[in-house]
Amino acid sequence: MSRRIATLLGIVAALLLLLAGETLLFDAKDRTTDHNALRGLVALTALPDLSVATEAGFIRFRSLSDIASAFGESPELPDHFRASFVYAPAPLSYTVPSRLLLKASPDGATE
Amino acid sequence: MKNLLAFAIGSLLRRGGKNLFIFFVFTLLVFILASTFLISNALKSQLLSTLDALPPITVERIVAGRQTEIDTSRADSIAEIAGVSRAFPRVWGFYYFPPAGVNFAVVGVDPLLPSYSQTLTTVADIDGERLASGDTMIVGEGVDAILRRHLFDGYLLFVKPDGELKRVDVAGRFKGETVLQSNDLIVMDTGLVREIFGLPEHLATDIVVEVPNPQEVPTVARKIATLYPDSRIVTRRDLAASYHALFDYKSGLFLALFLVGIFTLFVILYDKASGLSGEERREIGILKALGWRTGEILAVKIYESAILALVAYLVAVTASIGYVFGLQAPVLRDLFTGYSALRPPLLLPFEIDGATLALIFFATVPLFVAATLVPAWRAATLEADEVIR
Amino acid sequence: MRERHAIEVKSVSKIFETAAGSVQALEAVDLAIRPNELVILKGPSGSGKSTLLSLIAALQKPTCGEVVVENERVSKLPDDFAALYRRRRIGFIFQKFNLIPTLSALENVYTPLLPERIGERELEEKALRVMEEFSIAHKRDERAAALSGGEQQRVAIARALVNDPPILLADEPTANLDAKLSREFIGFLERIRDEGKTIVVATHDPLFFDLPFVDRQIEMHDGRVVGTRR
Repeated sequence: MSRRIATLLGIVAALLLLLAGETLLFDAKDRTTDHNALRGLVALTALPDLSVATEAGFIRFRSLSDIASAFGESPELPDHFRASFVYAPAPLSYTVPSRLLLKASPDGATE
Repeated sequence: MKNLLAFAIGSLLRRGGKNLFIFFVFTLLVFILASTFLISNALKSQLLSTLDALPPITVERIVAGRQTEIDTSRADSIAEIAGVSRAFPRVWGFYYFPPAGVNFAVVGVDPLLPSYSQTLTTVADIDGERLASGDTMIVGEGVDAILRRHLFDGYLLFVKPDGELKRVDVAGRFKGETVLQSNDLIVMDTGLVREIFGLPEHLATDIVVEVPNPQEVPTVARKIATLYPDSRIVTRRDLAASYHALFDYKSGLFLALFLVGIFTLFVILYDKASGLSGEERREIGILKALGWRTGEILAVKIYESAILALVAYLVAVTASIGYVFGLQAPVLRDLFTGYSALRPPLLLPFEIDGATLALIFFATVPLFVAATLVPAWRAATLEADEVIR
Repeated sequence: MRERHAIEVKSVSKIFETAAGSVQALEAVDLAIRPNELVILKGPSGSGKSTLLSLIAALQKPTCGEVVVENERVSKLPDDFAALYRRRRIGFIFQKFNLIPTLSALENVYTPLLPERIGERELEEKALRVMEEFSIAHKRDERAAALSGGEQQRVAIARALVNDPPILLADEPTANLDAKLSREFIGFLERIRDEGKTIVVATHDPLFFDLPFVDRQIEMHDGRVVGTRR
């Protein structure tokens, strides 16, 4: 009977070990990711956003797009790119842009 | 209590088939949830790590609610605002490549800037000779692959607005690690970009403003807004907010996930409730007749679900990590990378957020145990006598 | 001098509400059983014998009247206390044995003791000891469903006795057994009685009716006690 409990604990321990091992493995492999290259690129182009979803311009540069481009065809048509299902639009698209946010904020320290 | 725990384990094993099904469903649910969170967290962290390399202020011109070209002379006026160290116009846009049906993001840079050549070598693999020899561009992996596939080996013939062709050679490729941001990118000399897009000298896509002191950014932004009321000003803070909101819980994906999650839990609940008829109820009746208290029977039931849920959670999370970071999430990534022909491999930085794992745990395991409590309680409070007759 | 009774049933009635209307299973039953007495409840099926047993075991509560066992009013016990009372002071042998079919014989026997704070080794020892008394220890690891009728009977008896209860109740214990096994059971009964337990057996099996070691036979009919014989 206590054999059962021991087996269960063994399984849990094995899983935790596997989890830990996996974490260490991927962490080590990841050390090869060159953050400098990434930052260098961004500094070079000065453009934000990942090139993950590239169906349309406003999806590619989500952070810089305005709300109008999402309704390129006509205002009453819904957004027809799958990416909108996954990535929420930048808050800018739906609110009045920076000027009012800046008015409201006491300091402009970047995050 | 040890005895009851052992009894619970035995009980799980005795109804192996049904429990295996529930275990599988629950594991799948947690697996999908965890994978989605891991991917979105990794993407987000990728973005946030480059945030401070972005310009503090970007100025766009808005006409009829849409972005339009901006006059380059504005850069000079903006540069005179106190606190601004530099303001320069930037030219970039999208070039549609008909054979593949994709958009390339074309960005113009100024090769005369000192930072340019330093950065370039860290960022891309350059063929120096080619670079020096006239009209060249540096492309991302995805662009390179597409060009090759459509038989443009090492160059592209751009079609200008007037119909003329312009040949530009590939002089370098962006390094692999930058693929998530450079996949669809083409970087070339600003003058070249203007030529390809037919953009005259006095117009630009937007203006980048450098403000060395972050405290002064809001003031500068306000001044620019006053100076040019038809402009849209995007600060680094706005970009950060945009990044954070990227995988908003209001976005369709997460909503769908939670709905699926709840639905699955209901399926499990129904299964558990209907499954407590016949043999299981009889067993509980016998236990009660033998002198087991309601609380003790309930304890066994809770142990059962807790063990199932806990082990399922561990298996799911372990599998999910391997799936996302080891295999790059084969089917799930299509959800994130859209259906454009120009999709990057999901080379994600390894990010395990304890908070996310805890969120998934508390969003699933206790709900699962709670969901099984009701039928368990109902069974545990049955009149022993009814069942034994 | 008032005799100390092990079991007292005082004016107990039990009415069941069924879909077809109310059924009076017991009507004003009065009973007193002394310690170490072996009492047979006899009567046809439907006479209320099983109901009376389940009331003594606090598996049900009477509609009126009370049941007192060893000076404790068990008919008024709340559920959890009733369960505890059953666990510690009652051994019950069911008509259909009611073993848990997927558990082994050994596990079935020590099931009543599982919730107690008893270690695994002690549980097994207690169970094996009583199983050996009834020569069923050799089948300890077999699943209850795979045992023969006679073997199941012995496991059921062992289970009822594993907690060493002062009172043993048996509801039609030989209903599903052949004559040979029934006689075997009667043999077990005599042995248990010699250990000093109070035993009540509800049965309409004639084999029980003329046993020498039975102290009393109580006849029941239609929910009432209609006769007593010593």
